[in-house]
Amino acid sequence: MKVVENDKVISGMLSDELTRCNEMLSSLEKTLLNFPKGSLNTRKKHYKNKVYSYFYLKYRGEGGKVISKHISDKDIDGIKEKLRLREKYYKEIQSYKKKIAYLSKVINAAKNKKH
Amino acid sequence: MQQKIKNIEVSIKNKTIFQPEILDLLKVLFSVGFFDESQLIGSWVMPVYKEAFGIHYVLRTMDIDFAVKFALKDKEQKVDIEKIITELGYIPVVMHSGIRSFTRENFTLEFFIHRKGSSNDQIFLIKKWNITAIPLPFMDILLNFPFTADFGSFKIKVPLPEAFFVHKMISAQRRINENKKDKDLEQCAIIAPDLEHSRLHTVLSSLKFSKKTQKALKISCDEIKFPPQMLGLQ
Repeated sequence: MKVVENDKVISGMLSDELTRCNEMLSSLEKTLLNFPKGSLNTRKKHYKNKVYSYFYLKYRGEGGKVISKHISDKDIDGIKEKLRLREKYYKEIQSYKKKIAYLSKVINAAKNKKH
Repeated sequence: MQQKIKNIEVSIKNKTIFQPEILDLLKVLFSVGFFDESQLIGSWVMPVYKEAFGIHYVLRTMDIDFAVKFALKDKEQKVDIEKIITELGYIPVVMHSGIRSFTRENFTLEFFIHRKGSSNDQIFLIKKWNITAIPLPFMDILLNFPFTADFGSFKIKVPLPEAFFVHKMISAQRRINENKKDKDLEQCAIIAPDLEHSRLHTVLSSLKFSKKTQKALKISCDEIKFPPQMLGLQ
């Protein structure tokens, strides 16, 4: 990356971009904690010739234990929306992680060449 | 009294200067009247300058910045910019500073307003637009001297290069971050040959610089080898 090595402004911009991405990643990860994790599943129960379905949220708790939490009908829409948003935040986090890895590689390669 | 510059409107022929997702964003913001009193600022003005004034500077950051006028009256018609932006796929993120930014595929949207005096406010809620903005000094230089970039199906406001130049010449010397200072000055050096003297004079005559600001301008002039007399300095 000759340009990065030689051009002070470009290398500066890349360093700033790395800082910005790290700050954003940290804020995104903090936001992600506000959303429930796991996936929404249904469970069917047969009782007196009738079939009832229940929603439950399945996720890994502390220590890796799988937890199934019953979700009441009135909370279903809210949970679905929160899971949808969680997915969006998660994707954005992955995209920032990729960018950070790329920028770190470029900046480090330029630094190593200088030395 | 502040002198005015006749409203300049430039037709942007090349619609590909922005990526489609940025064009969509600008189009939506135009449709709700955002650019009536706000501007696109930061490094994303450079593609517009290239088209409008032949100023060629290719480096751009991933943050898309907007300067917003402080809306005095809360009774003004409110537009929920956050809702509009999130509908475009951006997600709101509260940064450690408390500012609410928006991000999508590594692009970040941020809003700035003019900071008067030495207020220490870190963020400012603009109820009219339902956004938080970062107050920064000298933003009024940009906000007072816009021109219109006409993309055909929509129009945006951008600071005149002369206002952008003066703003960067001052802010470069106030930067704590050396990288940003270098970038500011590089942009100034690129813009300098294409400045229109009468417009620069109008921008300068609307401003009253403190001794500290005059000193900052002189240092910037020295660093980019720009004659300080052009900025009314000795």
